[in-house]
Amino acid sequence: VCQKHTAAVARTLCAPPHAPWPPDPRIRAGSCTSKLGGLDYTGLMQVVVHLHAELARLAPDNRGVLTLDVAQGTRVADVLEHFALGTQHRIIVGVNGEAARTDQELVDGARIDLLTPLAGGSAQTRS
Amino acid sequence: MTNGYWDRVLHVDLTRSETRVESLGDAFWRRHLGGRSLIGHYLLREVPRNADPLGPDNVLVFACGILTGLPFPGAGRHSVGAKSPLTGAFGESEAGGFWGAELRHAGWDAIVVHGRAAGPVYLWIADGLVEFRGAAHLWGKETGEVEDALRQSHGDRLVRVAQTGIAGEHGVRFALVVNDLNEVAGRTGLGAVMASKNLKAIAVRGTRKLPVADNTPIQQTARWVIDTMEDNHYNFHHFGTGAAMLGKHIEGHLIVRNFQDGQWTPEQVTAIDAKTFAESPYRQKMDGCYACSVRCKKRAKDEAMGVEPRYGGPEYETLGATGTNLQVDDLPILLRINQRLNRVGIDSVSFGATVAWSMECYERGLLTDKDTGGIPLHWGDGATVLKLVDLVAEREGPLGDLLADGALAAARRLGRDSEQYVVHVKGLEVAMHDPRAMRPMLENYPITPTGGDHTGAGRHRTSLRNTVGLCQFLAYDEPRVTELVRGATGWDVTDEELRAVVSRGLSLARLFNLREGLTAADDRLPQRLHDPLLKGPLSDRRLDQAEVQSIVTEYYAEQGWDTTTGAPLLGTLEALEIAEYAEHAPGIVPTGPSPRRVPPAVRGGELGERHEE
Repeated sequence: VCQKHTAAVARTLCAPPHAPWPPDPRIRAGSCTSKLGGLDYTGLMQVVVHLHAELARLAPDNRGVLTLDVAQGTRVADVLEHFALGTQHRIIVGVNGEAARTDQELVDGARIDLLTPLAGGSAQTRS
Repeated sequence: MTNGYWDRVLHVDLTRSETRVESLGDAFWRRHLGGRSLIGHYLLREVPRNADPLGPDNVLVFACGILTGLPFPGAGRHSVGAKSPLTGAFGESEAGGFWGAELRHAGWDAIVVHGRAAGPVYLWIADGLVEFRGAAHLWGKETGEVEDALRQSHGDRLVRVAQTGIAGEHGVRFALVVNDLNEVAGRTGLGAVMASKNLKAIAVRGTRKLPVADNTPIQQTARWVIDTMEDNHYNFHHFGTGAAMLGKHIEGHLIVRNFQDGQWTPEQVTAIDAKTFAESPYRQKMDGCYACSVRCKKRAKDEAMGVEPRYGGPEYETLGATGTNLQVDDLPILLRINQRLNRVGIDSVSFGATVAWSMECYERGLLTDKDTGGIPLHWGDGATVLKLVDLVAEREGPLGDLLADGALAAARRLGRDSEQYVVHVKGLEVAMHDPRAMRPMLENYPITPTGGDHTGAGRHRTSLRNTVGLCQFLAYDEPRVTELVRGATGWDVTDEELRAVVSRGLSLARLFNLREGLTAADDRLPQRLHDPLLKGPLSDRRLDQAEVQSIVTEYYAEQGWDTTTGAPLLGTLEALEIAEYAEHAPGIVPTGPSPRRVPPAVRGGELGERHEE
């Protein structure tokens, strides 16, 4: 778990008591900064991830915006996994401003928005 | 000695300039706990059937809950209620801040305002002292000036003021009651009721400590909120409401162009959301209500624009109603609109929704320059929206006067088939959450006694909080609320007993609405919310009327109401120990056993009965 994935943050995101703890062990130390999967993908593709509201804590500087180097064929699900936001979480994902499926492949230069569902300020579920 | 309440309700007769104190008795308090249920009690008993909401026969109730003013986060809430001049139905709205806590610290649980004063007055309450004071010098003044004047005249900057604004004075039917300048009982037009009684303000100073049976749950809860702030209240604490509006856009249920589109552009949404505000030079700080460490209240400041922190900052509902819904993507002008609304005392939700209706009508050619007095109405024109605040507040010109009655009345006055574009439930403009996408709102809007109100509370959780005086934002689970009530009162209440309390309030509000002429046909959504959204991923979906009907019928059954008419059954009222209210709604209550099993609220009859001092 990288230094930004603190216990407090992960517990919030995991919506206790159902979520597994600790979070996915595949998240590597320092992985927030770049390079999904531990491979050298530099130069292949870059995507910009915007982490909104409470998710901003997952970015190194808490400002919620970071650039990731990713391989061709990287999917939305890989990005979610990178931030330990697996399928058990209700996360809204937008790619270039539109709703995205988890199996959707990313394209170079994509903007990815990650948000928790909020109605005003409190978590809400959607039908 | 009571715990958790004073058993003192202040009745104020403005017509006669008289006050009296009512003691309702311990059994009453255990059955009702305050807030919503107390409002239902007084509206049914004190307001004559078909009373003019802006006439002297209406009553205006300021009702604290059993937890209001206790020293833990979320306990700074109070309710305000009356027959609504906007809907003609049960009117209720909740506010935070400090005023409600101050009222309790002055030794009062509620105020019931009757009649109409001969001229403008305000009420001065200092613990047990209650005085009528002339308010001619305050009439026509903005809220900040009024609060300044009252604090100065009483020589105490901690005087807490609840007041109606210029909009209320002009009978704007969605005028609000504002306290502490930026906390509002916003919905259903209660500020117009207050002004119709020539009551400009209620200024309160309290120095008493409310006795509680066991302080432990209160202290533990206060500590728990602080210790778990980053886990449970991160967004509220750091951003306030409206931090992730882009999510609504992505999912396709952002409120845009009078509930037509569902999407705007990502850039425009994020230009006005709470995170952008937090990172902007306009945010002075975050602030809190009484005893609340969450501090979710924005304070905006910009000297060049004249934006003052004391008027707060825009909540999500305001960003939605005057921002996304009107396509105004200019954050500075939204800050000015928000401040202007608080300075003149207008509900931002009804205002934004009514303006949205007018913009759509203008776009469709149903509302012309002749109707508007030459004012063009275009989506995104923030300068005109800002100007409209004052036109509406003072009913100035044909457009200001038209919009000041709310969207439904305006449409009926305009005609031209414009009513189909009013997004309302029971005459109350729908809040900025789309039931086509949000199940909790789909289950709430049709049956909430006040109408299209996202916190108007037809369901248990929200209703309970509006009854005990607890903020909707605090992440308390039901057992914790029960523990807090037990600690405050010393009663061995259970979750189930609190469910019965909630049911009482809902049945009383229902009786009132049916008595005032509402029917099951009013428990519906407007046509606009059954139409597909025009943009985004939900544009291929249609909300069936049958689905809404199914929700409503199931709700009637859950409440022990007739499944066709929604009238509370006599057996239900008996089980809830409120059968005596049936006489205040003659011809409404059908005889029949209740499917409900409700535990007796009070066991053993050891508690006192009501009496009046």
